[in-house]
Amino acid sequence: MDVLEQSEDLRKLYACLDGLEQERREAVKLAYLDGFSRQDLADRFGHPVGTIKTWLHRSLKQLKDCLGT
Amino acid sequence: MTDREDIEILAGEYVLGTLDSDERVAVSARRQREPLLDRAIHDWERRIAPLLQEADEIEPPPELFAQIAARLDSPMPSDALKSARTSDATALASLRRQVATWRSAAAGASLIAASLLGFIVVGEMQLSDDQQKYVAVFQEGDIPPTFLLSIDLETREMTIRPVTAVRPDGKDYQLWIVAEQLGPAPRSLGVLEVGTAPIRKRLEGYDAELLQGATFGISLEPEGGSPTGKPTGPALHGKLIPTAL
Repeated sequence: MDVLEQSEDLRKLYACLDGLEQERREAVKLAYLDGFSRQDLADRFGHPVGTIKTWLHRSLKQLKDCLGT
Repeated sequence: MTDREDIEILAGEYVLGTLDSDERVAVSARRQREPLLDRAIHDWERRIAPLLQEADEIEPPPELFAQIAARLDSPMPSDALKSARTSDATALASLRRQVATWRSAAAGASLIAASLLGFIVVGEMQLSDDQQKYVAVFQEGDIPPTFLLSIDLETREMTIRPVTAVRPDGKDYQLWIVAEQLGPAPRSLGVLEVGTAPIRKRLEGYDAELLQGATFGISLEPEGGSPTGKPTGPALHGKLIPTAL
């Protein structure tokens, strides 16, 4: 995959991430890039783990719908 | 929610790395026999991977490549290496995230690092001639093993390898043991001097049976160790498993 193609994927992914509420977007990135667990996210954002789980599930669904592939 | 959506969400969380250890192990097993799930995981990796470009780039420590080269020169059974490489695509996926940060410094880093991970795991397994050798892996969720602990129950000699652990400024890793015979509170086994070299300790005064049933913990503490005598920071846990199966 060349650099331009990667950038296009990244641009699209960002556009879709921008569609998420700010904290949920942060949560997705912290999980993927920094290895945060649900518990880590719960501590960071001050919500119960159940809420974090719901955030992640909704964010994933929204991302998939947005990316469309 | 339909089954199809369940699979999508499960695969998504698998790739994000937010499943707990049990769920993660279950999904790893299921994807072997459920092509839909396996496919969904690949799709999520493809969707989210562009984010890796955002990871901060850091220079690898100068001694790293010499160490990798030295390890690659060591004799190693190729079959064992192959199975270590392919048996855990999960570890590779996690590793890829780590090596993304090295990418600018060396294009081949991910391959070499993958070999290195394989070698470390295989290296620990090579101890298996001796029934007294045990190993514990300190790992949480999607994070690759942070520490590997191996111990010879006969001599009580313990080696701890900080596989991916880096000591944050102003913090120290501290090792703990919890065993029925010791009561409910974790007992400190000391602060770990985390550098590039394996850490060696001798566990005087603990008998083999106790050690075999014990849970080991490594917690992140203020510099110099826990001020309270109990773990205060986030911790990883591991139990000993025999290297001879």
